[in-house]
Amino acid sequence: MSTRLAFYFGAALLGMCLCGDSLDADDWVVVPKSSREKRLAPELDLLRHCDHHHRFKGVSRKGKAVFDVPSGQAENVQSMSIAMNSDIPRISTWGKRLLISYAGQGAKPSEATLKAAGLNKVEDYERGSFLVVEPQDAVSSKTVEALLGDDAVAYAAPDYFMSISPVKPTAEAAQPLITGSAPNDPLLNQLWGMQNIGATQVWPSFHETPKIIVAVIDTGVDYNHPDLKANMWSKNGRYGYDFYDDDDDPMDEQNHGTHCAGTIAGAGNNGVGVVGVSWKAQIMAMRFLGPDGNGSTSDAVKCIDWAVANGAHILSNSWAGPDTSPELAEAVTRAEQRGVLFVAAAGNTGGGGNDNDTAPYFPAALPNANVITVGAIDVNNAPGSFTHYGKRTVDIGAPGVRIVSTTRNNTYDKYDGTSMAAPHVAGAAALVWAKTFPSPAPDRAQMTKVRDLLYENARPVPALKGLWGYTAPARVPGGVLDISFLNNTPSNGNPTPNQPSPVGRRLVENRMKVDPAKFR
Amino acid sequence: MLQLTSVLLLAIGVSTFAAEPQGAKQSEPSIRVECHGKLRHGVVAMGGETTGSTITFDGTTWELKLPDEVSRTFAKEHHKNPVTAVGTLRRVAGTAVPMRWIVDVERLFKSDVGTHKEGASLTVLGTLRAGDVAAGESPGTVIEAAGITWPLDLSSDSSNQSRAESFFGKSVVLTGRLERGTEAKSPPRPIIRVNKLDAPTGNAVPK
Repeated sequence: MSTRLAFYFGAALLGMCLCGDSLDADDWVVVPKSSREKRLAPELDLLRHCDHHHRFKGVSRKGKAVFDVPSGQAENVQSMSIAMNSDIPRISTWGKRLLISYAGQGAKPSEATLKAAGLNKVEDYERGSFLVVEPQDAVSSKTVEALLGDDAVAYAAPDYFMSISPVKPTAEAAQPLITGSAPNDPLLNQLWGMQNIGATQVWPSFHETPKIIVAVIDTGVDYNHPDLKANMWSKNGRYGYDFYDDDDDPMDEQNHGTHCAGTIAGAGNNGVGVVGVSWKAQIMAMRFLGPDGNGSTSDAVKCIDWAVANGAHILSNSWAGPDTSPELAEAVTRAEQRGVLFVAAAGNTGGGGNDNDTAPYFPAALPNANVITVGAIDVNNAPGSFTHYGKRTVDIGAPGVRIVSTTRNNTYDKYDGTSMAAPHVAGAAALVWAKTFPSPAPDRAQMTKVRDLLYENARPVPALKGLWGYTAPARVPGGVLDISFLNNTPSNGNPTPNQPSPVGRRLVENRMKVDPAKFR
Repeated sequence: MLQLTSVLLLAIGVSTFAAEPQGAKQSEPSIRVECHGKLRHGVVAMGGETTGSTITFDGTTWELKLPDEVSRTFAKEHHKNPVTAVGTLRRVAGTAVPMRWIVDVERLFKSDVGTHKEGASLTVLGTLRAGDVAAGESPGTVIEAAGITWPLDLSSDSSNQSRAESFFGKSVVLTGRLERGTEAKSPPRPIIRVNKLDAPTGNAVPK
């Protein structure tokens, strides 16, 4: 919470203070934390403007700015040798107002706080749990301190005049993350996750997996999205199945599934929007979560069986619940028997996550050998504030904070969640599968090899030790997805398929015989 | 002697423990609910942001946080059946699900469809004030409790409005029923049709 708090205060206040100002490098100084700023994360420092008022200007982490910078001010900040985050969409215009979000379960920010902060309430938007406020005067340290002092304030942010649909290409996009054959997708430089997992290193030599089918089991997929359309799996003109409405039109009515699909296989190098981990894999759209994001285990089971019966290699599952059922476990086992990889989000709980070892969520905590459970990290390789973890039940970390991807109706948006982390792994598995096997097929030996390559090559991150990756077949405690090894792997080699790991939690034997014809 | 002292200390401890939380709770805003609706169990959600059980009534769905294995077993057995849930309502900001409404359930039992109309009755300990239209709130009177603002329908009794205004800025306990608002919003904002409005007393928010 404190990191997020600091981030948004920084964003808000820098925006407010820089509007119309012209600043020099000498105007800034990093100020060590005092007891009054104890709510900032330990690694954060406040940047203060060295004028007579010592006004707050932003927040830095280890010398790196962690706030948005308004258009036209980037040079000022860069002149201070403060590295800019490149994954933040350009804010077209800064408004004068602030948005103050209520804390999760607490009361709203009090009138006394607003008064002390010198803010007038313009609107209380309960549906979004935030206040719109307008400063009576210039935002000052008094404003910050008043807001920091009220536990009911979750964070503050500028009330941007902006369009995030679509997210506009940024100036930083002119400085590509990768050289050589970088894709021309204009939002590339906001996709920090692609760099973090090493995909940008692999792409120059390998980026398409047209034979791999990845089923997105979620709220459906907007199969007409220009960044997804070319990569949609189809059969008889249909893109999957909708078990929520029980028809053959899995159109997304929520956005969540479409967002996941873009991370897995947003069309690459098409001059539009984003690029997925795989530039070209087949996205099978499976819908069982409704517009409110909820669904039933029974419909999830139908989705799993349908996708397996229709040839999916990988199932991407950014959903979970606290209850398990034999039916769900058996469906995952059936997928395992058919050599289908099952990537699962570990789950989100605001304010510090949840230990899935002691309070399990499913299917994330299922012990099947084909299940890869994914926790979320941010751009600094720190765990997402919400991510579930578990030494035994979570296997690997992947980017899941401020992830830009496709949303319905030709739009793009930035989401947080282990829901965003799991698709990075699903897309990476597609690349690994296609590069490792000349004839990629749902096959237990192939699936096991792909899984083990992902685990073996995970990048250890000291800050994540203790959170996940301790139990076989996962092999790297605190490991983060990293597929840069593919850059040194000959394409479609002929590796010896690994045997399933001899020990560990993913050891459920396949005892069930399934007739795929029984499933639609 | 030692035993007697121990018993006395224990008795004092027990009485303190029994009295303290009740008094403390009564001074804090809270929303007690009794809802009658259709139960769903085994619910999964985007990012796992669900308690796994929900109750739906009159177009509203709230999550149910069940307290123990007995109630979870009951929920499993009564999936898709009408039930009554009694507990405390709270609102939580999620990561994938923007806003979650969760009832911390104390009692869950089979609902008598003939006796209980689908819906929710509430006992709210909160603060009354005029709605701030400029801030997007409904005109008229609203109550704030536990971070939630509810518009009120005071038309059930002609004296309610003036009585409510006399309580503006003060803590009150009101009982009422959750209903859909009539304003031209989509979806309509829920309102509380007030039955009773009082200053808090020692037993203001009964368990």
